[in-house]
Amino acid sequence: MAVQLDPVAEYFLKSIQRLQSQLDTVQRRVSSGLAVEKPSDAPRQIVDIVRREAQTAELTQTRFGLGRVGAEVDAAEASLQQAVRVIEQAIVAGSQAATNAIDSPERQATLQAEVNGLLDELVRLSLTQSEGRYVFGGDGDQQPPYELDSGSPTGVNRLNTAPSTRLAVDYDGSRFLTGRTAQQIFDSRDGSDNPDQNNAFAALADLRAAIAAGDSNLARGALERLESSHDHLNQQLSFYGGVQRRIDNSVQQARNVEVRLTSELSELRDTDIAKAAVELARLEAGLQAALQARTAFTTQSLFDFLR
Amino acid sequence: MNLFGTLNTASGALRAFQQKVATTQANINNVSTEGYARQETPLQALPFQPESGPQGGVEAGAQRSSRDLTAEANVRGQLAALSNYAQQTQTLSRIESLFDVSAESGVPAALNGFFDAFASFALAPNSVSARESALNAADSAALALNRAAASLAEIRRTVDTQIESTVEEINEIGGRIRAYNESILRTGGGDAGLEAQAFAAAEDLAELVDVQIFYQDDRTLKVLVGGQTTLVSGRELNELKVDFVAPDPGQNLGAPSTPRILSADGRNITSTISQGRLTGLLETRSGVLADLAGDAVQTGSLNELAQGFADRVNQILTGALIEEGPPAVAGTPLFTYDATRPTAIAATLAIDPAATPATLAAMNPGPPVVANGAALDIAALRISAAGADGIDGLSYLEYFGKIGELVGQQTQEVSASESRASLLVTRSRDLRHQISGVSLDREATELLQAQRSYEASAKIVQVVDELVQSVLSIVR
Repeated sequence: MAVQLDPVAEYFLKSIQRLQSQLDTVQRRVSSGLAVEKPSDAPRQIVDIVRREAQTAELTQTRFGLGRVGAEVDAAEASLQQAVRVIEQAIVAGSQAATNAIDSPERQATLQAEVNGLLDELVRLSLTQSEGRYVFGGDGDQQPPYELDSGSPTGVNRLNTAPSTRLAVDYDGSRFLTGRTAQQIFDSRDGSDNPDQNNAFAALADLRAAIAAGDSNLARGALERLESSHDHLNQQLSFYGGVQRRIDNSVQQARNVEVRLTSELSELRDTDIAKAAVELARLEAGLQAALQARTAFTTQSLFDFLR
Repeated sequence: MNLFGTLNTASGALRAFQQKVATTQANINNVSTEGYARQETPLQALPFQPESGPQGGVEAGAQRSSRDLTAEANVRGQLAALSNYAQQTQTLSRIESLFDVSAESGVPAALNGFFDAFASFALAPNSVSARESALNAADSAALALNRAAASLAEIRRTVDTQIESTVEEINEIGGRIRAYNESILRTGGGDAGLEAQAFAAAEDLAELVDVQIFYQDDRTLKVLVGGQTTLVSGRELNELKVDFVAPDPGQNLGAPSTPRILSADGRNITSTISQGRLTGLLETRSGVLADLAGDAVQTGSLNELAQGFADRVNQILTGALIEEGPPAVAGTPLFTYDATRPTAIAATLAIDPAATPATLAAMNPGPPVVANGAALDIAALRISAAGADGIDGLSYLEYFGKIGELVGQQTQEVSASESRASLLVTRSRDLRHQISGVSLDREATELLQAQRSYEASAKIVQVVDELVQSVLSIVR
């Protein structure tokens, strides 16, 4: 509707409304801490804000993922370290068998039991799990990779032949392999799928057979294989060590980048509280001054002076 | 010239000054009346040749209005512009609320949840719970886009309703001006009070649509809408109408209808209307709302986002494997939408009925095969704009931000225009007030002057009366 205020009053009201609106905006920004709450607050910054929020979310997710992978790698490393010790114990037993140190059936039985136990332990280590997943199960992490099988030449039965192709994401978006299969680690084979010299299961099975046969030559052959598999296991340990270092570095880098992004996001989006407080004081003083000036404004006309 | 002539002259003067006082009173009474223009009673000297006849004196001339049609038109023009921007600001503010800059709600939050779920799926592709979470997150993403589309549709329906009610208001105010015209034709005009009502109605009308108003020869008002279409002329009211036109056969099937403003004789006058609330509504309807939600000829950026996102995810999944085999089992699409209705893609986006947790493909066939490659590729869509990812070189989230930027920019510009227009309205009213407004100081001065003149004329009557008494006493 047309409003018939006198012009001075209309100017005054519009100015007060403008001041009040600015005051409301600054107060809202101070209380929320956000200078950009909606697109019209700073249209040209919206895409940058969204981009940085997405990048931050991505890094958060990356750190979470690396944390989970890191737990698997930790478990794998621990198991591999134990596997190396198992092979070292087997090498000691093998040395005894290879040097005709088995001088009695009791000693033979003891050694045999020890080697059986070591094979059992190695199979158990191949079944290491982390959060319900077989860490050496490769892409088929819900299936156990091996079980004992005394009838098998390697002493074990292969249950899962899935490769390990799964990748993790680094802080910069690059992808890397984080695991190896039980077959690659414990059941190394040649191109014709026959156990090769690095095969830890086969080495233990060979030693068991040598002890049962009381054959020191066989025992020497098993010993060589055990030493090869020992080196192979250490190489696998190095691989996992490398993965762990990459994960640790990536997590740290992700944190650094997140800090930078958070700072950039704050510059784009957050209220400069000090500046806003000064602006608030200025606007409040302006509003008070305008209201006081208006009350002092004379409302008299000539009529007030006519007799 | 005799004493009685002088008496006659003095009484005529008294009548003239009385008329002036009455006009001053009317001005003072209407100092705050909407549409009122200051009235003046000019005094005209009567012929005075005492030797030959004319007695002289003064009489009140015809009442004059100080109304300036140019100043009135200026105020109406500024009001129309202000209303246009104010309406656009109002509608744009509602649209802007769909774009959460903090990414804690709405489409950005749902998309982030989707990408998080697929990142978790990539960590554990064999996990049933990870697959179920990924599917649920996809459903949430589709739902968020559905809701955004529904909100835009609701805003569009509100705008359409407002267009209809605004046209009704225009016709109603046109009716008031026609009633004024009928009074003028009955009474011959010159009624300042009626004129005030008519021009107040004209100002109300200017808030709704740009109008041009001028006097016709018979002192009635003629009202043109958009400079071309006669709304009111004399006793005639030519009511405007609204209709909504469905898309042509060659245009987007199922697109929202387009509003048209029609004259009383059925002509489409939409393009001639350029200011007022009606323009604000029409411009947001055909401008930002169409840009976002689509219309007869464009898909709309929200629909483009939904389509781009869904198509890319489906492309990755159908190019991936559920099982390497042999036989290899290929992945299946995750999303579906009504492709026959381009402007309804966001509204109809949903999970493909055949999609289950078991049919989510995580494996990239390569070579080399990567067991979680497809899941990683989908998770990477959060920030990737490379190759087939994203839209126009932006990731999907950035594209949503870009849409928000355009809405925000428009809102900011229109809001600034509204502030400027508000000041211009005040200035134009100030200018009009200076020309035709009532100033109490001026009226007090005129009243004082009229009072002195009245007293002086009354004194002459008194003196003439004494002179007559003297003459009579001589005769007795």
